[in-house]
Amino acid sequence: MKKKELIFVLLLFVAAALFYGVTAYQKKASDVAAISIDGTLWKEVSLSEDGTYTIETPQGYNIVQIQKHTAAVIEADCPDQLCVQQKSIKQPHEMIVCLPHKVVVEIK
Amino acid sequence: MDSRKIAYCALLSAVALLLGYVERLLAVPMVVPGMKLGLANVVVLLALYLFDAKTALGISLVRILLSGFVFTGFASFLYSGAGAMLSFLAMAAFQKTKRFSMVYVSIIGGMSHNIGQMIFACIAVENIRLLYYLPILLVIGGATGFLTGIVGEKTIVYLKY
Repeated sequence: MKKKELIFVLLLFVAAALFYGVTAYQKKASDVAAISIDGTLWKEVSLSEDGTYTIETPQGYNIVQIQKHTAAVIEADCPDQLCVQQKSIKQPHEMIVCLPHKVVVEIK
Repeated sequence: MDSRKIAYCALLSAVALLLGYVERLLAVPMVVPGMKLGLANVVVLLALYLFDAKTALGISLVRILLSGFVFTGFASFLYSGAGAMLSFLAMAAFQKTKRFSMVYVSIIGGMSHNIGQMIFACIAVENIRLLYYLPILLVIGGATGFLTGIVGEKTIVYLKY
């Protein structure tokens, strides 16, 4: 079988697990999601208050929903819909990206 | 270029385009931004082994252009284009040395696709912290590259040009 290649991939898994082990170790609980458009901060929203925010960009809109301390993009008019398909986020560093609209939602 | 090769290239381009579409239909949960199966990579890999780097590049470009126009839109076209180009360059380079198996070349392709996408995404949204996802994307790219490499290796036996 493809033993060498399989071992190579498994080594990659171990390296990534170590990286995330280290970042998880440094992790603090977070309460803020930062929403930015084209690299500039648009709004910081609290994760403890449920609500929806509509982000208007020159290219289109995204609707971010905050619910039970998680953030998710529930609607957008971008062609690929990748941001909507993405899982909701709650851990620090996690982010949702909408490339067509250059929108980034990041947990601080 | 004889007509047999033209037919082959057209067929491979069509399969690549279709695989990209089929992949979109599969409901793979997006755990991290930018992850995908990369089924179309099989075709570029096959072209690289069946023909040469130039032909594989042509097929890759046709696929990206067409899927950009038909399915995904301009942003994704640039985004996956950046990934596909880096992936193509890496695969062509590694294949040329003849020291790596098809599966290895495919793994390299999957990983470099993610690196290319990531670089482009960082520039596009002007946020370097996206790199937080790079390790996990490299793993996913490596794993999917492994799988597509096996598919390629099994397929090429039946595809002698």
